[in-house]
Amino acid sequence: MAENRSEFRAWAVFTAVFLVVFVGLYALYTLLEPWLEGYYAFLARTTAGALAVFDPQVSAVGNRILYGSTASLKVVEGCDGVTVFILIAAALAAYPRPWKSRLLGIAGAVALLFVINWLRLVLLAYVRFYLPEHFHWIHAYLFQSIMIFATLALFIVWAGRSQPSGRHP
Amino acid sequence: MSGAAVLRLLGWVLAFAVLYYLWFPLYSKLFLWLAEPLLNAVLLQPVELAAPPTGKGFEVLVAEGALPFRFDLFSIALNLVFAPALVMTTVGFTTSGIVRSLAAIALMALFHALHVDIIVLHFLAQGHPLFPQGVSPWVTSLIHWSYKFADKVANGFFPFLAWVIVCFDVLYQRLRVQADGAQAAN
Repeated sequence: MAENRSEFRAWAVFTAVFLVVFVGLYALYTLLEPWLEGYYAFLARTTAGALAVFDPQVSAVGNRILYGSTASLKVVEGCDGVTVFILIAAALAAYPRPWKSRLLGIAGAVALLFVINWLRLVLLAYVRFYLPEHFHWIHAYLFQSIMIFATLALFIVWAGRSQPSGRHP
Repeated sequence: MSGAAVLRLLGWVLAFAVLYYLWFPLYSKLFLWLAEPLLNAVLLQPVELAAPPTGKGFEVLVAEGALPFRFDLFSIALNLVFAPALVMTTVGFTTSGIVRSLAAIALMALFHALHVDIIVLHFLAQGHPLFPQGVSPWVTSLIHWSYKFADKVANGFFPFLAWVIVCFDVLYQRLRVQADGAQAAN
């Protein structure tokens, strides 16, 4: 009985911390959104830079990635990877581990997800310009699923490897 | 150990993605049906939700006619596959794993029903005559906020929450075993 109470308490604390951190970070994200244009432009510029190595017709203006004057891809909210950063940060912050482990985990996971999201943008731009007939399903179904999978996989890896706190949560 | 868990997760995600693809018409009927009672209560009239034969979007059927919504339900509900995949990865292919997976799918159906409700209410709250008059601006603000929230973060948030709800006792037990092991080692 006491065991069940302890499990329920641990569950309640985890869920409450997860929800509070998640909603708090999301609220912060919506507040900061008007100032994220620079970040979108950075993503567009670096994505275009990567593709321009192979095809000089690719360039960027603001948050738009251009293929000559025939096609373009706009980096907007949702392309920025911030929602998966929020998910992993909330999950790791709520997991009962020493704070140092949580903060290192969050920093490492967000950095890795940033790279994965950037690669997603490069591949999306490639598909948009060279294989446009496949763009919709790759954008709407495949890459969104890959981002969620990467986030959940990172959480599983971190939870399996990081050192326990040495006390019951 | 972690690498094996990630491979297991990938395997289960692929397996549930195939099931989702095959059963989506049935699943969409389920969550559209689950979404109806809340809309009935808010709009104060019988409402029916239906997926058109084309499979694109959905329709809100009321006495005045049909309101078409061009949302891609397949994309909205695709995150379903992650909830049971996480459960099976954590619990394994056992009776408990199967029961918990079904519970996770049921939870996801409720989340998707709520998502559809929020989409419909968000659009009706922008001055549509079907939306009740005199609703507090706080309520309409909450509807709009929920719409943006679901639109942006539902993909990862819903399956993670469903997994945590149906599996936290398992997660907790594993953590406790690790913690006990660390204490014994010290």
